[in-house]
Amino acid sequence: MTDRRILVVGAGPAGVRAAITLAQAGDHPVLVDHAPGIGGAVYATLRRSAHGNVAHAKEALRLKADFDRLRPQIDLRCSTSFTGLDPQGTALLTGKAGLIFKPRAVILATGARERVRPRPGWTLSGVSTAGALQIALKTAGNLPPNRVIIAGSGALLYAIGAQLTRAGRPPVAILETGRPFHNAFQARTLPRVVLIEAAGYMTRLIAAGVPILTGTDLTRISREGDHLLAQTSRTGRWATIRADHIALHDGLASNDYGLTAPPPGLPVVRAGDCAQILGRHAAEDSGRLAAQQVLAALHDSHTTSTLSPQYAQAQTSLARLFQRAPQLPETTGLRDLPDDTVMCRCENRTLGDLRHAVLHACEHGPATGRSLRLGERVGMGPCQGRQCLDWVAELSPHTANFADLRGARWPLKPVRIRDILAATDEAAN
Amino acid sequence: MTTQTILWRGHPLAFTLGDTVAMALTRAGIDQYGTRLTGLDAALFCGIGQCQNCLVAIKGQGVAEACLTLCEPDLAVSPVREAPHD
Repeated sequence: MTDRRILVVGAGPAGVRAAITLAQAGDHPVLVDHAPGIGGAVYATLRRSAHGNVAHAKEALRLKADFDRLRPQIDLRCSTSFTGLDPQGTALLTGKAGLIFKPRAVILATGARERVRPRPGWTLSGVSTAGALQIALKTAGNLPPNRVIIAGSGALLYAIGAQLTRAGRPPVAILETGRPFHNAFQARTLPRVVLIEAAGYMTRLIAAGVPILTGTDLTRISREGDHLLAQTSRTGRWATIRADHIALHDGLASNDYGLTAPPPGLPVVRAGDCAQILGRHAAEDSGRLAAQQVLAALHDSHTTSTLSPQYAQAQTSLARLFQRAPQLPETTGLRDLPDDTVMCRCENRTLGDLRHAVLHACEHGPATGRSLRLGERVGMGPCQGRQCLDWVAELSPHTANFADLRGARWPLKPVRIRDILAATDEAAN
Repeated sequence: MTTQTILWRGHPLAFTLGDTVAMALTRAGIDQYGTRLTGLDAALFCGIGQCQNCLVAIKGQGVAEACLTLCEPDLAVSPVREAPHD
């Protein structure tokens, strides 16, 4: 193949900005995303069927306008998954616009994944991640059922709470494990743009009278008839709240699960939250930089641009803001969870199963990632460990032994053989 | 304008252009997509194609994530365990 194009994986703000930058430089990148359109999670509003009162509309629409101008030069493949890069540097894209080809370079802009701590009852229908609720709200204008509880920790809880309130469905409670109001002085170091956004969310929540319970853990979810019961704990005091939907969120991690090491000679650069969780404002800058780095690598030159340190400083301030007070017990830690807590959602393996396996394995030497995979099937189900392995790794003191739990894998996710066969093969000689 | 529908367990559900299957189901008040092989609920969880908790059977296509699959007129969708083999 003489036509060796650059592959950009992920069409959120980082990936779209990277593709735009490449196109501006005269390149014809392939931009792939498994969602049905551009925007990623944060600008999912761009995939909305009926545009109306949308979150972050200004930034999202500006990104789309820039993209539309260079659209003829970008090979956008939506509803198509990046399924992996093999040791020869062949990329496999499967789905609606499947393609097998050898990219000249790869920019990984796969964004973030939500970390959700296991809790008894977190597998019930009606319990989702906070992000899933937000995407439904942004793309379909879908309101969740009447009574919503948002629980966990972090800035996203308030953003979603405020968006629900604006849509006319204020949450019945926000349960925050941290103590952001006690740590409020940490907020002084946040950039102005973040403070203004946060103030807007808080004003809306307070005006609507949404209860924000800080230092509060959601310890168990159960179903009673057609609604859910959320059991909460606040410094040893217990309460039960009724809800129709519960949204959980315990932070973000880079969505780089299972990515294999790139073959020698193939430039692979990460951008946006996939490189480091810095949020949407940093993502576009990061995407632009990644494109410049790739172009420099391909032309044997250098780029000296770097991402503004402000973004990382803002994240540090946010982390401090949501820190749990040291005097509070870590009741959301695995240690205090009951044995019936489902850890592996795919294979229905409980914390009790894993505790037993770790103990049992320890009689014959330390439990390893491999022994837990083969014996307990964690990481072997359809999600391949994306939901449980962070927490399974907390179970044993021999955390170092769990490096092999995650592993690199090809393909990156379950893929139908018919989808591989249906992909246009440009890599074959 | 005629309403476009997908079929869930054979029953028509309205959808708007650009809806994923999960969105059409949510709008119809359906939050459980049958049970998984483990007996746990199949349902929307992560919303971004990671957790595979919302897998459904789509006639002519096989098993797919409800949160990523776009609605098309008369798309026949059912819980994975209720699907006839293609």
